[in-house]
Amino acid sequence: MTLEHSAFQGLFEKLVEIIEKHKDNPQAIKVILKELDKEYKKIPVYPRIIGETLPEVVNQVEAEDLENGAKVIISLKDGSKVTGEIEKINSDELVLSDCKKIGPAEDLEKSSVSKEKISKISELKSDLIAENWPSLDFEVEE
Amino acid sequence: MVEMELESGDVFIIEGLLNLKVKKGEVLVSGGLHKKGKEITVPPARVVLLESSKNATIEYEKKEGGKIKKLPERTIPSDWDSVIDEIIEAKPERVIILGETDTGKTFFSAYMANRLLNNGISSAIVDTDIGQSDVGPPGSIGLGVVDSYIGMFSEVQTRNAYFVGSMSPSGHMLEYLVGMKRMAELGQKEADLTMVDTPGWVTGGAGRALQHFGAELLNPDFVIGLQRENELEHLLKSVPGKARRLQVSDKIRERSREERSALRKRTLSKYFEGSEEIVLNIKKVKFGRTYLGTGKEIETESLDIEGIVYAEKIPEGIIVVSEKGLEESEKQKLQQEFGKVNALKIGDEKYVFVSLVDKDGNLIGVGSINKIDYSDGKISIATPRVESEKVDKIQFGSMKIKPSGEEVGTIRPGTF
Repeated sequence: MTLEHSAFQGLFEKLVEIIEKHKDNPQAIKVILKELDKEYKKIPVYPRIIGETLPEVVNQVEAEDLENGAKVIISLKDGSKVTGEIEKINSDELVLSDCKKIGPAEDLEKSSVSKEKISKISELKSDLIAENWPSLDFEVEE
Repeated sequence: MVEMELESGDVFIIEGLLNLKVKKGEVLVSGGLHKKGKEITVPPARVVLLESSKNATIEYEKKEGGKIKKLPERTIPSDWDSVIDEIIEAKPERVIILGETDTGKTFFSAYMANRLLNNGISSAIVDTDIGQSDVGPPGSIGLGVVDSYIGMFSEVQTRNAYFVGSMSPSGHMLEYLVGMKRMAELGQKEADLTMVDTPGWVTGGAGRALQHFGAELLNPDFVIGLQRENELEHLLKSVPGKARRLQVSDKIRERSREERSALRKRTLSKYFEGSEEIVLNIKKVKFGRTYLGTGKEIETESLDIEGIVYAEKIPEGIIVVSEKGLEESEKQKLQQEFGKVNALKIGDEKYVFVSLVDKDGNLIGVGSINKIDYSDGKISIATPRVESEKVDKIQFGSMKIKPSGEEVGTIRPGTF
């Protein structure tokens, strides 16, 4: 069987593609996942339609094309991002309401973190197939 | 060889690999009568029960993992015989055997087949254990007919088989259901009773769906559930057929994931023993369960992309085989012109697990692709005991398997 029996495969591949495209924009991924959840609750039996609509959730636009009330993620030149709803469009600025700003990501060679400041630590794991299903740990092209 | 004298009523459990010969008298193996001179090989990780109703002498040779152990008493639960007696009386046409993994479904089926034979009833067995097939090539649903006493199903000659293309029904529901139904239909033509030994996947949405629709498709007269507690009740309550509940024998041993994997490898390597390469013309042979070979060939020069050795227009878009794979820009160019692009590289086909089918649609063997030479129009496949001139169609599976029996990968559906 090399024919796809289910449209879930296409949805999964679309998600991987979308996440790769927006990997530096966590807010965009959050919005896409929220939309995925909403659509899936409405039409869980039609994954193909969900896969077709999800790439439309986050679209690059020009400031001139926006209208009041539009929800946006704005990437600034310093690497930070602002999310919110357009309240007013002036000739030289966009006024947003209900905003959140996230600072630019920094690459550090080393970092020390005081334990007092830590609220939660998540350990990251990979190669779980090798650990749990060694007979299925096939070599694949990256 | 070790010689051993058996007294009437002696019971032994035998685990493979072990070779056994009846030297004097007669014994029952899995309920089937085996007389003087009969030789049996119990394959690795398989278990049979040996019983003597009269004094007899056997000789045996234990090989890797082989064990023989005397039991204080008969271990086949008494309810097994009661249900088999009911079946002998009712003379049903179709029986489904349900049970989780390692509940003795295969042993029960062999025991029932022998008991039926004692009463002049022949049975067809549909072996759906596609990862560790006893009947039929690995990765397929096999059909065998029990018309003489057997120790285990591996002794039954394969009458037909249907390729599933994987080592598990997961993700292969359609192949599984079609194969199970087809083999059962053929079985009904060849034997008095057809029994389907089902996969151990009995819970979760997909497991329930597999068993439920399998039963609806087959419409069995009886459904025999082998359960330790009540783990099959959800199915026994809802599937068609008279449900009969049986205890799992306490001698059934659960296999570890590693044992299962080793057994699969052994099954595959045994099948591929003595493989030879057959070469087929890709313009003449048909391709099945794949996009490849189902469209219209396009002149590669017309695509104006370097390194393309084969291209084919299909309703969904285009299949392109290139020497080194396509650049993103080349892929986009093809996407704009044709739609979906199935981009393959030369060599992607290496070790793809395939089946070989004759012009009547019968499975004649499984194999592992060595190479597709698009310039020569040839495909070479490693397979044992298949004459190339009999092959009408190649069906693509979902795995990559070396002829040594080693599983080396799975194939993303839609790749070929």
